[in-house]
Amino acid sequence: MQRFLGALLALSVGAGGAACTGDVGDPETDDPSGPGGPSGTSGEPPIEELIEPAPAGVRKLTGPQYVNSVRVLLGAAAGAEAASRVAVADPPFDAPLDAFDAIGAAHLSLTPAAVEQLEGFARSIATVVKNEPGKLQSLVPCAPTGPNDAACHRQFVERFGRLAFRRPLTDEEVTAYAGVAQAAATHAEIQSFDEGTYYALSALLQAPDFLYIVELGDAGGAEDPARRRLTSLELGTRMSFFVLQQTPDAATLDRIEADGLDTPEKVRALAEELVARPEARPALANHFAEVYRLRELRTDVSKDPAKFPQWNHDLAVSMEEEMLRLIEDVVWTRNGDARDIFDADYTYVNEALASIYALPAPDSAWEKVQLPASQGRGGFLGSAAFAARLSSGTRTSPTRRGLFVQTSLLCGDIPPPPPGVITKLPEDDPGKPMTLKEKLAAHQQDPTCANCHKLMDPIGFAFEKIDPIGAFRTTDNGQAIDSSTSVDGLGEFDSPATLGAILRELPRAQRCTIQQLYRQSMGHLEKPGEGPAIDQIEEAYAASGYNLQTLIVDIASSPAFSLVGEPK
Amino acid sequence: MSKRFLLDRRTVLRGMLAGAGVAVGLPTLEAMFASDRAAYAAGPKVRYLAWFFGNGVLPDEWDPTMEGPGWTSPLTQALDLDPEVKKYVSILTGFNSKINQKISHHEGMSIFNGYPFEYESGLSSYAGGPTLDQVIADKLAGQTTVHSLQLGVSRKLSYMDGGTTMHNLSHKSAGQAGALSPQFNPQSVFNSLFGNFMPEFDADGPLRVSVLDAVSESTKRLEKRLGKLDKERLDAHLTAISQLQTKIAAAPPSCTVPDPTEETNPESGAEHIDQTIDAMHELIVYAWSCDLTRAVSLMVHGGAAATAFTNIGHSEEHHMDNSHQQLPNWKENMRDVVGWHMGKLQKLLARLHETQDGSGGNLLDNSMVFVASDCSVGMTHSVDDQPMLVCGGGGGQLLTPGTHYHSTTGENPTDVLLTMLQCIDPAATSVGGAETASSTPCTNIKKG
Repeated sequence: MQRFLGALLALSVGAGGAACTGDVGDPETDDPSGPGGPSGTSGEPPIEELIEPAPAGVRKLTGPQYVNSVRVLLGAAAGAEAASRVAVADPPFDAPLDAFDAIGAAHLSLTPAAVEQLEGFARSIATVVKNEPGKLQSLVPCAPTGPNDAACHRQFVERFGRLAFRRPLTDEEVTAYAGVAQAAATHAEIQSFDEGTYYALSALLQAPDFLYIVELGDAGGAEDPARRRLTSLELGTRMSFFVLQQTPDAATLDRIEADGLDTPEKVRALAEELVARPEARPALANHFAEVYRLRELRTDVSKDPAKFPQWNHDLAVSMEEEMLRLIEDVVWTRNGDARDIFDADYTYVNEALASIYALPAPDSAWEKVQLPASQGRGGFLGSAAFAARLSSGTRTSPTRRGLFVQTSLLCGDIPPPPPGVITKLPEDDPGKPMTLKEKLAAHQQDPTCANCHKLMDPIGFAFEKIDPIGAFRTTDNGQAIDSSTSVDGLGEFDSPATLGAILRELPRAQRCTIQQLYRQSMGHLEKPGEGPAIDQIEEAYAASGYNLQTLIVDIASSPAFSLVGEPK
Repeated sequence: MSKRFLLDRRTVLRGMLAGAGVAVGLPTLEAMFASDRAAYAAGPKVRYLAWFFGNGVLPDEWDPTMEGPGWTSPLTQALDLDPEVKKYVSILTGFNSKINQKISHHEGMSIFNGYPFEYESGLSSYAGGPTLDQVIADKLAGQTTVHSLQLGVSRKLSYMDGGTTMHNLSHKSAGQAGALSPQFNPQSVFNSLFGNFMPEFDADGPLRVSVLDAVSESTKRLEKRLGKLDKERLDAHLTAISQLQTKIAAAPPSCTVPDPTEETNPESGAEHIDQTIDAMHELIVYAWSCDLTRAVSLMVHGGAAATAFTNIGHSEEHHMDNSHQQLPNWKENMRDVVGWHMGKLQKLLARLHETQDGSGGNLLDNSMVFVASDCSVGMTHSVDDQPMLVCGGGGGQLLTPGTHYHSTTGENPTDVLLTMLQCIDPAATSVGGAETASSTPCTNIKKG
């Protein structure tokens, strides 16, 4: 396994299991850029020549990409069938690596059970198409003369195959899949042209050329095999799967084939068009649901019903929706400064959430409200979603909350605990009750623990007034909570709101927003060789006033997005 | 599911039609494959199940004080329910993992493959080599219609850990591309095991096979253009296609088929831990009695997992709150959780024991259920004296009555894997790699 160092280099917390020495977020060591730095300075080579592209290869579609692509190719009913199947996939459709389904999709294998499942999905989707009046026939661009009209089946395969594979099929492929259609259509028990189309459709939907995004570049035309340019169709496909989480539709494919994506201007123009489409919104929501672990609220989080009787599935789903509404407002409605997501002084509540936040019940199902300043909340950091996901079923967890900030919002890495270390905290002494913060002081006193825990627990202490389901509290274990804390590299803070204000001004937090989107967009952790491209994106992000729509366009238009190295 | 019952012309499935669901394994009336006949002639068909529970035990209460047969210990007392079944259980103590690198929990998973993990960073790692279930499944390839099964019960796997080590009990090879993610839904496992024997109509099976031929050819064409990692991934895809074709083309087995299970182990809400493990155990019993596969892994609950055993009244996460001793009553909770696991294990062993095997004896005679955890003590993640049980007769090759063998020299736990492998492949000379490899089987649990 190639070790991706980008994230570690972005931090000075040590690498490869080394002790946690050094400060967090020393601005001097923030920047992993290679030689040259941002482009545009006169006399320096263009970014394109400075970067070492990430390897070429294939990536399996993620669940959302699969569902959305089926919808693009075959319409709403087929898309709904795909969605309902993927939702209960077993084994699960996606498995994350390095915290991203997209990275898992680029590096893990499909198991026999998964391949069997994909065959079942292809068949059930094709069945829905077959049963929808006129739908199957609408995919066939000719009027079949009978079950044995092989030429007409070839036309179906050529037309639908091009959309499914995101490229024209070779003659060999057309012959193979049309052969599947004809074998079924002319079978003695069947004798039906449409049944033949059905079998060929089920084949194309489980073909590797549909299931995997192929990004191999033009090896033949490349002077340097470690620096290949994606073909126009590969690049357009990559852009569509990133910005819209779906396969390019027929119009987009037509345009790419007609005009090419062979100049930076054309690439940028397509990126801008894609980001303006409505599908870009759920695509970005999906990204944040993954990075902020919002989607796990409904599946992975449970609370002790005795302690938290308010906790239920609907509340968990509401917490996710609250954050997605905030992000929608910042990014799309206001087209504003994405740093507001860290510390916005407003949020969206329904009745259940209003009760958690100790706010009056809203007049409508969802309402935009000011957060009570006294609770020290702000943006995602102060949300119930953050608090609930990063707590156990019974208690808060300053360690988990701090770990999340370090790894997911600052893109750092925390080494594992040293072998044999005792992980026990002091037990409750009825005569001398302690807050969790006081108990966790053990982590700070024992030097084997302190090196790393000092990077996590103290961040988490600032969240101690937000309980395991996101409600405000002032005491823990009967003792008053002191949420003030101090962290090297971050400074002093005592609440989610004050930490949010710090992250807002911290370059590393903005860079991490970029890194996360970049990782998801192409399915790999950024490599040091991609540093110059990320520097360039970072500069543009700041110049845009931290505009996420612009960031999406800048990533999709980056030279790092259109180049690949040798196949992995 | 009713459609499946329309196929009463497929008389081989009469067990289903009778709504049997009863644990009666019928003798194999006719061999499905030529290799099957050879295996039959060669002796009993030995099955292997890797049965994993995370986060360790209380070694003082797990390890029996008395060595030899007739052993008992407080934490394993649920196994004592039926002495006839208990006879099949050996316990091994005092073995110490030889692994050099330790990052908490990950090193303990080496007990299932005998390889040190491949480290990535932080708490991310990949398996260092194939797990024993996959070595065995590859060895037996072609003798059953299903290569192997990977099953899981609690979906709430580790929140903290990355990579593939802590989320998968089975790995077909080293590295990220080797991980085999488990199935958690008993209903989908049932459909995958038995569904293909009930085609929609007669021509459908062969047409599915021809569809898969076309997909396979496309996969080979694409594979030619790829690098090493992606080739390995598409090879896995190709192998899976071929295995699916085998399943579709296979004649239905001559055995009693269980009733379709209703249990789906839903992702949301309180986990169906009890119902799911019972359903998975039943599926294993039937998969074995129908000889559909002989290599299975079952991850009951993961190491460092977020599982809360709400089914026994625990609202806390077992890993953090009990094994890491955060709760005042952690010890009592540890006893409850380990005791619950042993109770479920006992039921599985009893079911295997009461089920006749077509190759002679009962299923427990011809199985090896290897039970282990990722550490001995959760609080320190120690891989000294990891809990290990070897259950089953191993086709008459393992000691019955089982014994308590205590190593006074901290032997390598991989030795136990080699002992079990040799029950299936007598020619095997080693298991694992690097410092955790073994070429010296543990003979103390083997018949002399």
